[in-house]
Amino acid sequence: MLLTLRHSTTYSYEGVAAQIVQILRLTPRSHEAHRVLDWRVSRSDGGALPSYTDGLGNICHLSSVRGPADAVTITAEGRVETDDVQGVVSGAAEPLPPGYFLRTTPLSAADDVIADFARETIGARKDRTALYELMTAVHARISYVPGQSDVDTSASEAFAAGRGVCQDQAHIFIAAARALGIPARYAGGYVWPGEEASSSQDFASHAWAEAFTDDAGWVGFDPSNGVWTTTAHLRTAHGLDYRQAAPISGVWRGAGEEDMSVDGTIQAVESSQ
Amino acid sequence: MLSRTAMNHYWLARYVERTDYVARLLDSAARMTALASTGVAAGNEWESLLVAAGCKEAFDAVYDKVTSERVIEFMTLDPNNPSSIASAMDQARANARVERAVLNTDTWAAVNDTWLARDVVENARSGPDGLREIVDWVKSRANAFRGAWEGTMLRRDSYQFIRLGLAIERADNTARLLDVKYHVLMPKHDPIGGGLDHAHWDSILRAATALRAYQHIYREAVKPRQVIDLLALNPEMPRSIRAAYDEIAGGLSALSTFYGGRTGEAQRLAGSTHARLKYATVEEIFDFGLHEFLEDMVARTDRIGAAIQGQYMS
Amino acid sequence: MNGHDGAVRAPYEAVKSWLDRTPNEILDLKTAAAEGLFRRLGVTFAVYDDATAGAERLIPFDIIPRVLDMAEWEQLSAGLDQRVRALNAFLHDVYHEREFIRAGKISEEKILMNPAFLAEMQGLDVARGLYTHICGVDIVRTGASDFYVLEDNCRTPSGVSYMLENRETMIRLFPELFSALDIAPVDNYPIALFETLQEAAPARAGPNPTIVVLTPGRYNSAYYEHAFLADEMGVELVEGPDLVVENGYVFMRTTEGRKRVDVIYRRIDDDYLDPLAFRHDSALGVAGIMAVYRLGNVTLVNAPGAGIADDKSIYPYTPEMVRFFLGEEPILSNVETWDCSDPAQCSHVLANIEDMVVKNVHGSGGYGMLVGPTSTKEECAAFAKIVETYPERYIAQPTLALSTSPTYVDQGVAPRHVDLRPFVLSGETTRIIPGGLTRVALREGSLVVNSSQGGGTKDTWVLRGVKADAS
Repeated sequence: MLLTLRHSTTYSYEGVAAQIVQILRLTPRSHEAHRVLDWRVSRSDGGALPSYTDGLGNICHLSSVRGPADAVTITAEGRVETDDVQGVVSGAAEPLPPGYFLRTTPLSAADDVIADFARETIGARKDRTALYELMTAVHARISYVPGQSDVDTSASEAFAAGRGVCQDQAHIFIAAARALGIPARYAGGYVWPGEEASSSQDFASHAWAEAFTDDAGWVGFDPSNGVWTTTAHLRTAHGLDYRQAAPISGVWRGAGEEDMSVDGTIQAVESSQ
Repeated sequence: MLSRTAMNHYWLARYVERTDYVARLLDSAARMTALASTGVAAGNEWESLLVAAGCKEAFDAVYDKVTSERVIEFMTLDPNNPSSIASAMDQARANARVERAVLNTDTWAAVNDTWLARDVVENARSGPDGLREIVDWVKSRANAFRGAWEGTMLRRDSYQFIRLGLAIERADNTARLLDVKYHVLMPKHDPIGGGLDHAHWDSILRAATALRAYQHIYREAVKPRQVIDLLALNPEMPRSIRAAYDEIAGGLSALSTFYGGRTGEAQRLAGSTHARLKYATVEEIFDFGLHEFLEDMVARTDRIGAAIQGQYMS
Repeated sequence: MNGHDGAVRAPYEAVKSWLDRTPNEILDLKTAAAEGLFRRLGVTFAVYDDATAGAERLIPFDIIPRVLDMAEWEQLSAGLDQRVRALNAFLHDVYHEREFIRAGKISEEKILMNPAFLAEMQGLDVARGLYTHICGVDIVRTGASDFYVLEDNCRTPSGVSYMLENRETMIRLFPELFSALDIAPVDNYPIALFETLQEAAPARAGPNPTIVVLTPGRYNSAYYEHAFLADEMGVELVEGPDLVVENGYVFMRTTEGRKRVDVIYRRIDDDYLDPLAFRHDSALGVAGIMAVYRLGNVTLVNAPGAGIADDKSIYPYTPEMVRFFLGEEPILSNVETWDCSDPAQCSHVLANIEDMVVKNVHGSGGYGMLVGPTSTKEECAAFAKIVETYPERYIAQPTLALSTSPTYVDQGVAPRHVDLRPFVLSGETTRIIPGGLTRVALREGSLVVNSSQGGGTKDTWVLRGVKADAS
């Protein structure tokens, strides 16, 4: 499938920002599931965005704005051809061994409840089918309810609440997998929502998870949609948790408040091959 | 030079100068009080002191009534009053310590030795001639700092930022000192009792270490217009607003030269205020309104301080 | 000072004869004079546990120097050079191909799960492949030529300013000793450090890179040292807010506008370096600095993530690093260490816990530590239980018979236990200043040299000989 995407994030400042520094993890890399045809990240003031690869293999841009600034917009746009590989993430840049993704972080740590849930669901199995069952269980257990959690909500908080957004569902899946000794990580990017919903109002970044299965290696699981990753998924970054893989993380200095708004479109065309 | 370094030099100097000023205010208030016991009413001398030091509101927040003991405590030792001698010494030393790498040994030692011996203030307070001792010591330590700075520091930007800190603080202090007593300095003022007014003028001159200077320059009994001339406009008088502005303008001009001729808002504002002081006369000031003139000086000095920070320290 | 046979060791003869002819009253006066000098110079360290935050204290200074002769020093410095080369090679490997793991020398888990391992460093080609440019190696001695490495400090080792000020003080107090004896100088350390930092600059910085020292600020316990080193090198001492990331570079804010910075000798811990990469609540660091580092536009000294080489759980593997990366036999020994994560080693520790020092691998200072010989049976038994439950968190070492050095204490001149921290600078070449910081446990019998627990310092002399014209 050919995905054509434009994604703009605007930060506006009630007072003025004297300084803004941001890390942008908005650039997909080609691997077996993705062929990146063209891609561009730009900033509304035309400022330079030097690019580098981080330790995890993500392509990042460093954005810095010297104020005074009252607003700045970051836009990512391009075309990527996706193939149906049943979630398998292969041929991607993997500078770190799977073992690194057994580390826990405050956002993705499993408490006893999550560990029990994981054990009861798949026991000691570590294959792709087992993890698919774990994903399905998270999907069934945690209802998708926006607005009840935020970027600092941990897996255990979201699990106790029984609801959350895609970020929370991903964190819970990761925590559960790691509790069983299965490497797991957070993946961020976009998903094409289907023909009916592809208006700009519904546009949002998406998040899911990847687990290292003992029969197929890294496989993408989307607990919020109850599927493994498909040709509709466009992957831009991965990390131990949201914090390491967030599309944009930044700090700013100045007076007043920062406000963020998102705008964009994503279109899909079946590839003719 | 780092912007922060410039800021630390500047504030180091302001705090040292402030200890000196507060000590002089205390000295003059104590003298007025002593005179009161010989028949001249002291009025609200201690309250004036608080106003002149810009500490009235902070004082009222802690105490319900002004007494000499309380004001002395508040202005010498109170750690919660940023303008107390002890606080200002702490702040001066803290600013200097951060710049230990930039300040030369003598200038650092002058500040640090003051701070190490700061118990003098507390110990002397209970003594029979406590305040006198404190005032003399604080003045001598400020002199030691200025001596070390003037005598040993390279005439580079760091020197100029200290110069600016001293001069800005001094211009502000003298304008406030005169403003507190502006009512007894007005020409139309109807003397209630010559003795009291004389004591007021006398106390202003003492606070500025200007009593002797007055005699040398005017060779006559103290008169309000001469006090204004001496402390606002006379370039020979080191504590006059004019002399402070000679330093401010001089320091900013030296900085501009040091930084390859670049000038900005600070130079422009300082130039215009300096010119105003250079060409003003006492008559003109009285026509404009003495209080208004002094308020304007405080406001202009404040703006120049902000411009210096904006230009070099952000 | 005395050898095992009780005789005065050769290097100490000069010191011995000096002590013999100097009455205690003079030593008292000199001790007081030294304290006055330190106080006046502001050589203090901040303590956090005092009632008033930011209070300042002096580290006690002992006026009797600790002496090494040239032969001893040459052996030691060859060992230090070798060890630090191996540590740097290990660090490069850890953040690249991980051959050390592949070869089965260490488990993958020990590296990847260690909090000191930073994924942010993976695959980054740092200038000259160096990670720990300034390394402080803590050495203890148990016999004439038995030097043991107690610990490596690959992150931000401190104490070098005391080494320099101690020497300065000794020269002022005892000029006659320095004119009679040929003592290797240490005062070229700042120049050596400056050259090391210059050599660490990114290639594109050009021949005159801008170097700064980055400090957490004046409330840091080692602030004096940060200021001292910046001053001695003639570079700016900056705090996080003085630096700003713009257009892919790091700049400092100056009275003349922005100035690009090429090398940052940072004395801020990894965690606080960059709120966008590590602790996001850090106000001490510089947002985006790790991105600039990865862009190759600035060098951070020491490299973030260098702590994986000095972690207590990695320490037992250092001799193997020397063999693996350098193909050499280690010159300096490690203290024998049992790794409790290994079941066989753990049962040995549990059986002999009363004779051992047991340390929590990720703890520092005295927390989570057992000194068997000075603990009660109950304490040992309780600690053994914890070790049994979390074996992977503990290592154990035998208690060593540490050497002593004559020290001037209240009772007069008496032996006290000492250690030594030499500083190894790695750049285009390795530079090791002869000597180092000697720390001394001032309490009789104590083995704890830490300044926060009653330790003091001494000047350290590498004695090249007696000057010919002195009598």
